[in-house]
Amino acid sequence: MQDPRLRLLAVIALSAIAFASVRGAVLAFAWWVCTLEGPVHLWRSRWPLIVFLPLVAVSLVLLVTGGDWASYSLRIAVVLLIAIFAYQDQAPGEFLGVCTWLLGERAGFDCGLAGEISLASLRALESEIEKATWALSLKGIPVRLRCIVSLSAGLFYGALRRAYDQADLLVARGYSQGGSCCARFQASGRDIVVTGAAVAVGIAAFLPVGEFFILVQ
Amino acid sequence: MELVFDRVNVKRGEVSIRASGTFSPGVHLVTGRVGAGKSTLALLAAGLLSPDEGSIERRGISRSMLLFQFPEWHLTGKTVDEETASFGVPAEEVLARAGLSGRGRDDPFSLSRGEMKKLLLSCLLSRDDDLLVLDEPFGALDCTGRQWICREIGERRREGIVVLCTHERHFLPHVDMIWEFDGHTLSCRGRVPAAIASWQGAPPAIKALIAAGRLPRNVARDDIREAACRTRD
Repeated sequence: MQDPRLRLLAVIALSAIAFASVRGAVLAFAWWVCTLEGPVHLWRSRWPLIVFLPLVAVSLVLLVTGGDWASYSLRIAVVLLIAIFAYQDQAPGEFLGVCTWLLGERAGFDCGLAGEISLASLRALESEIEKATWALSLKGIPVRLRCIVSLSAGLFYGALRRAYDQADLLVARGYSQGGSCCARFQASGRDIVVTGAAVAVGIAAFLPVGEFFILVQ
Repeated sequence: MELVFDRVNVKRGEVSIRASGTFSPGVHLVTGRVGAGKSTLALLAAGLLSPDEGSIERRGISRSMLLFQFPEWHLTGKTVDEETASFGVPAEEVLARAGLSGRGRDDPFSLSRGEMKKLLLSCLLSRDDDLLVLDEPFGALDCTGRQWICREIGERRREGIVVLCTHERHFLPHVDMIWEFDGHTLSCRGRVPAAIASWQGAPPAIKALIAAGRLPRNVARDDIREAACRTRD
């Protein structure tokens, strides 16, 4: 999607309905599959699927303790898929632009900047994990728990160093609070159709469809 | 022993990087402007990246190693000793070679970038790989460090294939072949010294010598100095 505002609207609508009910989750999943962008992004880079690990753990606990694990797992799985789509479809700088447009040049800019820095760290982490796997492969070391511990130390150190550098850079550029962002948004016809579909799916999920058909009969 | 790139094409963002040619034993200098595709070529050569089109054949190459442009990418050990052990090389000898004797218990991240680079180069050069790919080995090193790495590479010239990807223009080792990126397409300029004459991105000192009709025998500093002091060809 080209327009990050429409993407945000679609993501909020779909996440809300997926979390609210199983029917909403099924509709949101259908939207995710039909728009194609989500599956295509995930096929190209599959590492975000690790976010499903905590879900699997919680679902197992629910299964053992007799909770409603099936409904919970399905709803949260779809919310995670939508979140992964939002992350993978986003270009650097878009979040800052949307937040400033939505919440203004003070709170909006600060919120956008914090989000943008977090997203940049995630992207850097993705790239560094790839490099670490390359290093292990070059040295012929199999990926074991011991390696993961020492690699995590390196990644943590790198993230801290980047955070210090970014903080210094912001101070050097005179940042204290708020700021302006001249983002330009361009919505394609496809964006409007896809967002319209997400909103329609959202309305359909909350409508008492069964009662509507009874009235028609 | 050969590394063969057969009509290789790999997409990096909007850019298509193309390479064809055979790397035989010796030192191969791969040059080109920043962003031309040297690091991508290094990853392809080391087998860490697969081409989108074409193929890469490793004939008779059983062991290969790559030096990443950024030394932090290599680090997998918690101490300098663990790091050297991860390369399967003797720690004491490697540390002495890198000028880091007595620092085996240090955290590798406590080393400066230059020290990290020397440590890794020392580890890599102590190994017996058939193919050694060096991506910008001169980065973060001072003049002494650069001269040291030129000597070390020179010593390995007949031992296997060394692919040296760099945009360094002042300190270069004795090389056997010159390759150059024309845009994002790799071109072989040929065997040294004949290749020096057709090297479009040659350092200014070499270009000046060629313009004066004095073709250096190789691209190292002593060859350039010799050509500059030559009274007749």
